[in-house]
Amino acid sequence: MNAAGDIGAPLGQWRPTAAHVRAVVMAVACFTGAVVWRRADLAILGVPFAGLAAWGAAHRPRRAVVATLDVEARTMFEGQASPARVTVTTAGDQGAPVDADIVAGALATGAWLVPDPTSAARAVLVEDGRAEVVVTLQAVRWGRHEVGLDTVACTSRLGAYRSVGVRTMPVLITTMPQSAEFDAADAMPRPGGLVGLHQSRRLGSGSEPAEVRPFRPGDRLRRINWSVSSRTGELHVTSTWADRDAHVLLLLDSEYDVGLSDGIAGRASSLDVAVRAAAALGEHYLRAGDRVALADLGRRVRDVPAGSGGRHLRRLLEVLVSAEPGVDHRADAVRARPITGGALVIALTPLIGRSTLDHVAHLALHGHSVVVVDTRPTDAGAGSGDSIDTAGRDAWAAPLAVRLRAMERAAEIDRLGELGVPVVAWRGRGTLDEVLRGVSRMGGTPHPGGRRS
Amino acid sequence: MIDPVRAVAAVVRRTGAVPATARLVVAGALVVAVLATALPGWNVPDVGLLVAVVAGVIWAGAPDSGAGLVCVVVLALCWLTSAPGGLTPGAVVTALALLVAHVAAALAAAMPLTASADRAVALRWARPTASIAAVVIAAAGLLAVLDAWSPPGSVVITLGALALVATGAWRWSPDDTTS
Repeated sequence: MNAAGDIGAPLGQWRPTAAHVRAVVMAVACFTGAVVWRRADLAILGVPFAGLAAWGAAHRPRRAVVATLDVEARTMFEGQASPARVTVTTAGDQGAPVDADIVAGALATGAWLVPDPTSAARAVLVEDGRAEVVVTLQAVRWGRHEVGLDTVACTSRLGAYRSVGVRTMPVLITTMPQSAEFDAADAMPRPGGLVGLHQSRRLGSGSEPAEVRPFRPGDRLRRINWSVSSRTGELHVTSTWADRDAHVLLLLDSEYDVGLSDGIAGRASSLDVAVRAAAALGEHYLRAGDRVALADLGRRVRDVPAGSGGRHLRRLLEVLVSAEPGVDHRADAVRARPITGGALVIALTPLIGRSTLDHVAHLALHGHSVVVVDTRPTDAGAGSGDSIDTAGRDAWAAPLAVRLRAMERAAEIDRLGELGVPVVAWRGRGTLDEVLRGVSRMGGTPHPGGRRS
Repeated sequence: MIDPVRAVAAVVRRTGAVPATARLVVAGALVVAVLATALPGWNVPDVGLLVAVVAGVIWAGAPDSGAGLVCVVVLALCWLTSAPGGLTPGAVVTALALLVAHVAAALAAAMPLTASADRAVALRWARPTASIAAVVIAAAGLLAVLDAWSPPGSVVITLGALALVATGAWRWSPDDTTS
């Protein structure tokens, strides 16, 4: 695996091709036959092959060649494209002209790197002693994808000699999730920090006016409201709501991946929705000055502690690309996580596994503001039937099982609602506005768990 | 399990224009060569033509295979065993058709079937091919003149001359390629 440098692979020795062997054999055979049997027609048949053999031998390559694969952008966002270049140079002396006439290169790419041309193979001429095969690669799904040299073939004049190279170590391309379109009105339930853009329910230093009140010792002079003071004859100040930041925990559920994924332009699986939503939410709240953390219930993605700023967003995205579905790495579902009190927990889950529900309920009972974003794709079938394995069972049982699972799921969502955990489907912009307002209102009410951390 | 029909359809969809055209040129040139061999009045053995056609089909599909050598050798044998021996227009047409088939096959073998290529790649060897075709026509003219003139000759001297040329070509050929 190569993540940093170019790949330089020496091609094989120059060897005569089947065409050159054919030309030599035919030339010798026809001329010999023409002389032995005094046949002018055989001599004529041998002339083109003699010419081809002579021309090919006269341009016999001498220098070995090396193919180098370089991808211009090793890190991309979904939907972006980058050219991959296969450069053929002379071994040992990169300035020396390449002895080939035609260079053909084919790349080996995964399903999520769409090449142009679609075959990922191109043939080019050697111009001025240099050859460069360019294939454009478009990343259509987040993740780490490999691209490598499948075959490189250099052919000399009239196809007489060929030097071939085959598979080499692949180059790793990191594709970051494209942030889904997201925006939210400022309705953070319990902002707690000292910086940020959320309006606090406490008075303090900020930009949003709260009230005009009489001056008290300790008030800043620049807060004095001179018009009110002159009208009343007593000093008054304009107080403001404090601007606060919040701690947001993005809880990714990579245990199951429901639905089919067609990349950025097609169907999205539940993990696609979750990863893109996590990217969008992270970007939104980090731009608002909040501290954002990431945890993965599937344990495929390492936890990212809370942080803020543009570099933290980059860190979040780099971690998100390694999300993969899998149940084998699952940790204890109700493991206590060190979450700051009053944090807003946004769980991105298709609500398939019971342990995920237990984890969300556990967090809600411990006083966290929890919102569940249902990432199950709308085309995944009614009632999460995707998680039901009907293979080897009676066909009549499948619809019944699907209905039962749908009823179970509805009951589980109701149970979360009773705990004050709203469940919303991901719709992009404005997905969380309404539920965050509801959670904010609930922030001051007694909680079923009886304790706020 | 991969459906073979779908797999073939996928390859056909991704087939590049230049490699496909080169293969079609191979097939077309072989049709011309077979017709130029079979159509004149002499009796060409059907088995020879059949083998040539089968090998030609394989050659067009797999241009880097040994089927090409089989095809051209069988056609030459058909000429050797059936034709009366004199210089005929059919021999010149066959020689030119085999030249075109050979170069088109070499071009097709230089790239994968699915490779995308510019027109310049397809025409890269057009000039040397045209030059060799001109040599073929010139040689045919020269042979026709010699045939009409009918100078006395010696097989031993001619074979000696050929051996001398072969030795010279081997002596002054480039050194072995470096790895």
